[in-house]
Amino acid sequence: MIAENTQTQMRKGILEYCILSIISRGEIYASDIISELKKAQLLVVEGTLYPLLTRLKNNGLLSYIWKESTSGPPRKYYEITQEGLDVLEKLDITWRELNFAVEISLAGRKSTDIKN
Amino acid sequence: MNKTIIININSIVFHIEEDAYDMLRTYMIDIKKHFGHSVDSKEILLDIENRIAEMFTDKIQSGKKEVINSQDVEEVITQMGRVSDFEMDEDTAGAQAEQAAAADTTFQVGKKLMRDSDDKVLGGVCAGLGHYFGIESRWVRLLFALLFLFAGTGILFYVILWIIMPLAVTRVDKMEMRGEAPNIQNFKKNFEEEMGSIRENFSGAGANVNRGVRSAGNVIGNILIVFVKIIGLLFAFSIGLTLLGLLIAVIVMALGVSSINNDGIIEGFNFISQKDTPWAFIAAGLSTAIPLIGIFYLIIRILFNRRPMNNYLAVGLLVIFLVSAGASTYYTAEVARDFKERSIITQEQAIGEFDTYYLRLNNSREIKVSDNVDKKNTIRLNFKNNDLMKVRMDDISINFEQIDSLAKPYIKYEYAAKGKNYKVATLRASNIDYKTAIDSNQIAFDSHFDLLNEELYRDQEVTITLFIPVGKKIVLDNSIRWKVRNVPFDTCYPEDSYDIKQTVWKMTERGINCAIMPVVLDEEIEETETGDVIISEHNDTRIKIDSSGISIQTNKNK
Repeated sequence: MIAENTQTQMRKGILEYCILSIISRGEIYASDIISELKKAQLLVVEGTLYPLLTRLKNNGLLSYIWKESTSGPPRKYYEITQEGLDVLEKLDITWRELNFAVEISLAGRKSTDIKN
Repeated sequence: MNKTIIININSIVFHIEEDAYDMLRTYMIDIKKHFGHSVDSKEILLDIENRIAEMFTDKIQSGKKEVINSQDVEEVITQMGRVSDFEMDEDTAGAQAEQAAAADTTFQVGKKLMRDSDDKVLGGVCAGLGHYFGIESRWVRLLFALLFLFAGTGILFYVILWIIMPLAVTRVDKMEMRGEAPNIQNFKKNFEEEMGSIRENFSGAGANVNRGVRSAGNVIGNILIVFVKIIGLLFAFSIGLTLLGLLIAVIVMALGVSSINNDGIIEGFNFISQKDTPWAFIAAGLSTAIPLIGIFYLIIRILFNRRPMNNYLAVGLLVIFLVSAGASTYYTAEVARDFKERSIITQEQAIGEFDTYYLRLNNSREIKVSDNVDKKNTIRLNFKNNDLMKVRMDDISINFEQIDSLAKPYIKYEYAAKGKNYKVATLRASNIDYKTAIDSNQIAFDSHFDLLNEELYRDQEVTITLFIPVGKKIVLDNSIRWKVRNVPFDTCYPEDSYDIKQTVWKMTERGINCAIMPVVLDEEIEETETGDVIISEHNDTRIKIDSSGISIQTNKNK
């Protein structure tokens, strides 16, 4: 239970960071974001993404435009806003700091202790 | 062979097998329930529905088939994820809200009065009231429309309700508004209703019209809100001005009352003793000001969504209000109590025996300076004790009584005052300083009397009774007329003549009577319609000039 909680917390923060990073590359459709995240093995199901995108959008980090699609209903294409870019910049710094911290902390352990 | 159902997801039509439909429906209900507490639920659900529609479209195109079956639905669900999968990555806040709502379910009884945004014309007030009272919203609207005809009360009522009632935002809010427990059956029902309304919304031009009406409603709503804010602001402004005035008044009264009194410019407020006056004014001012402050703050709070007043401040104000209201009540009761008992002191003064007495009023607030005295000195003398302004009580009445023609005439003075007990009242009565100037048969009564020793106003009165032997004449100067009580003046004054200087009376066995009817000197000349001129039409003589000459008629019948 405790492990689950920590996992959720870790994954949640990183998920947001990754989503922002993916969208910052240019306008993108939600299911493309999902396939990227699936490739990275960060996301299991699509349903998790929509609330997150809505929240980021309502916080002003993202915006979207409707685009007609050849199959099915019009699609929402997400774009990052200036505010989103600012946040991403801060997250980059934090990530480097965290990465450094994790490296330092893990360096003390023998490589065999860490299971892959 | 399978039964097929036609469904519509975001304006795209799908044929779906019955068991697949049941599966999809259950799934959507779960999702709706899961996101029900979030404000963004509508948008999230729309995104998910959109995505599902897209996935179905893909399946139909790639599989070269026309009907969605349960396997397709299962695949879509696996891709989209079940509610249990969401919870892993969900906001902890969302999960907490859900738990809280689940706890609510058990205690939830009755309905909440909220504005319904789904069925609104202006602000959703009527729809909300309809839900609350279980009436169709159109009847509530009709009622408000009728109320509007009665001096516009409908508008006022509507606006107040609009301010008071919160908007039902989340799905749970809406269920509570309808009085439904937020459980799975109701979510199911809610979902189906919404699916129905989506079908309706996308069924053609109707949707646009509907949206148009709603946005028009929003515009009117915004205008109304601005209007109400302006009225509220004006109201708050006027209260603010009143408060400012009250503050200035309290400060001036509290600090300045005694000094103004000493200057002799404004007569003091001598119901209350000098030392208590500032406190009484502060108490009265505060007990009026604090409720006004409360109303003022409330208006500001409603208009600008300000936080409630700081607790310490609120309690402090309440305590100050209670104390000042108590003090005001105390002072009022004290003053009222001081009017309980009445005491009269009687004094008699003999006057000389004359055939005629000349009575007049001496204006005691007038400074008389004789020719041969330095004016400045006299005035300074008069003002030495500020006494001129203190001579301000004028509750004086003069009466006449007949006595035997051989008895000696005299004047009786009655000094009356009130107090909380007889002793205090008597002491007060003794502090009445009244003067009469008697110079042989000329008697001059002062127009005002003084209260000695800074005495408070407690209904002080001076009643003067002149006991005059029968047969004596009394000449009343016109100045005394309004002080004299038991003299039938109208018998001694010719009609419509105000310039009579004095009236002459005689004391008889039956009281005082008019001795000589004054003669009207300036006769009025009036012209009648026929061109006749009537010079005098007084009592029994009529002098008339007309075409036939001058005629004098004397009425002998009288």
